[in-house]
Amino acid sequence: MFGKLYAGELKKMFSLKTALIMIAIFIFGFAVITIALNSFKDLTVGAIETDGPEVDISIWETFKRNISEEQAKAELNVLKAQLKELEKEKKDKGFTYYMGFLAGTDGIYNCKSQIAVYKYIIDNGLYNQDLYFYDSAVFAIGGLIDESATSFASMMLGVFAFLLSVYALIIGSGAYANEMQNGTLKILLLKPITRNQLTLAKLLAMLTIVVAAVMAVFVLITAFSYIAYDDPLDTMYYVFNASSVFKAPVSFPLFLAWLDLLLGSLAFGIMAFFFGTLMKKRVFGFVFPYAFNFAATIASLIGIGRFWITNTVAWSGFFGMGSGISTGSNFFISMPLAIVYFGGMIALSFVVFNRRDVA
Amino acid sequence: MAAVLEVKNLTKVYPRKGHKDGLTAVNDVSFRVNEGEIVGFIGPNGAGKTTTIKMIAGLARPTAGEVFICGHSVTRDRVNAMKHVGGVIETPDMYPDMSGLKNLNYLVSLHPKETMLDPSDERFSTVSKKELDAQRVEDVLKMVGLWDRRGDQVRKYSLGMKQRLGIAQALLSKPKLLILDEPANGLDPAGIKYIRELLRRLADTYKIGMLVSSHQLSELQLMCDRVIIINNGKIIAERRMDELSAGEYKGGARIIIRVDRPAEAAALLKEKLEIQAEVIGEELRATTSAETAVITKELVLGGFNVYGITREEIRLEDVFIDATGEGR
Repeated sequence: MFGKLYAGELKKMFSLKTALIMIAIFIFGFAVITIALNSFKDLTVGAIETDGPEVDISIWETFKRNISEEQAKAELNVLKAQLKELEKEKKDKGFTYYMGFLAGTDGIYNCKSQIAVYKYIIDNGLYNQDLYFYDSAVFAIGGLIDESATSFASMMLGVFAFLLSVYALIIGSGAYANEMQNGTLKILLLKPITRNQLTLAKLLAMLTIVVAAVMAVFVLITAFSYIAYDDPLDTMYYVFNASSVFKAPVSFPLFLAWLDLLLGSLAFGIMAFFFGTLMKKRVFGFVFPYAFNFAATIASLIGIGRFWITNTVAWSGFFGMGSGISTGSNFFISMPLAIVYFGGMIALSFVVFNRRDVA
Repeated sequence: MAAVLEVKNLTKVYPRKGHKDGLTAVNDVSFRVNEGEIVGFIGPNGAGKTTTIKMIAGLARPTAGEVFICGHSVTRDRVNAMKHVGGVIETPDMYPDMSGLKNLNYLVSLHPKETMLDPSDERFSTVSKKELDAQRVEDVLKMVGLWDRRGDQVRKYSLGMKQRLGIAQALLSKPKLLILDEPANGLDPAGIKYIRELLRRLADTYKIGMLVSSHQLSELQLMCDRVIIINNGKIIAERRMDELSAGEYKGGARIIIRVDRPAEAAALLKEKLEIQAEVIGEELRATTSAETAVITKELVLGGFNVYGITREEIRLEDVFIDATGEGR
């Protein structure tokens, strides 16, 4: 009997129209980011003046490598030492070498830019002559690209997260509120089922659809990455591991990014379900989760608030990927607290609906 | 006769802001509905009808008292109680984007297999729940005359069709108790007659007990076995319909006699039959339990020309207004 109830709820909540609209928005967004990221490739080229012809160096390949700042620095130091040895050999020949403006600057962008340039010089034997790296702008652009790509990717992640949260809100808020507004709840309550069974069926159906939606986005992004990019894995890093595109270790950031999306969407679904059920009107299921989230954001900016009101949907902070509001929050305090909050909302949904007089 | 619905001392108090005591919407209401019996539930707006019906259906929690459906308490044994109930409460709402057929297919799936077919039936183990459900949905849709429109979205149905779909939905569970709130609302005269005859037939054939709330008193009078009148949260009167049609209410039926010399005829009736008759124009009016044949005989023997005697059935409306004190 419960199976039928659950299947019925799934059918009621899932709307093909909404799903198709979401997919359309997704495809549009992905097309935009594809074009934008591809256009960066052409920007990441600097020029070196040699004795012979001017040489173009693309730093794109180095730039998109998923290495941490420490790794980049170590790699750069190896290259520098290598070049010094080569320089010694050719010292008697004497050459001018203007790379001074790079010295003393650090940071991941410069490291990566320098790696690209040093590598090019070593690989092509250019240390043997006068060099003037005249297009200093390339390094500026390098930094810019890094930040643009990061911010673009994080914007894209934001769009996905937003789309998924909106979808979770649509489904969660409508679970009971729709039936109350339709009047169909009166029919359901005349069926030989308990109210707890109904709430459980609705909750499970909502969670199922949200998980399925996150999975669908995962499948779509993977498929699109393989279709649109030469290096799909790197693209996926850009998109999902946005804030760590150039920084995070290659451990398992994709998985964490997924967990972040999934937990965030589920959190929104549960909040929408709770507020929609509590307030009987769908609009509250939309507004209150955002209000709650906003309150949590504000609270987490202030001292103890960042521990006690958890960063409701900024889970990435817990995984060392994000910065901002979650900085300073402690996974082992905030996570259990989040479980208490959302578990509490689920439990209250049951209690509230069980005691309610259906008008 | 077995009671399908037993309401015992049902009370509902709504909390009120700024008042120590709540608002008592239903106050110690008790009644029962037997199988095969159609009971009208009437009362002025705000009398507590809908609140009572909602408590019976388990939509609202009683403050005190209890409701038993086929012996199962609605508050304590809800699943078993609701196995035998069908109902349309307030408005015949359905999922508007689904077709009538899909609505019913979904709703019928929420009933256990035993509801569709008796477990002792030899087909029980061989026939699937799905087949039984499909058969039941077809049966009820044909019963209410919506089979031809089954594929249409409910939002395209007229109010009358929605009303009939609501009744079809209520019948899905092969109920022993039907709870209907304004079932004739929005129906045209033919539709009203159709529903009335359908309900009467269902009550007689399947012994379904029904609690019908309506403001269309003339319809209720034609359909019901009994009416319960509620006002200010209390049951103030209960009447059997056959009593009303036999005129056995308040000392008899109302009789209108058209006769020549009415004043003298009135005097004769008072002398011979102790009937207090009132002269209104050319007519005599009286309330009496005396047979019309006896009255005619007396008047004819007294030398009067009797042009006609009409025995008026007591209308439910009169009983209602009498009991509630409305309209004065």
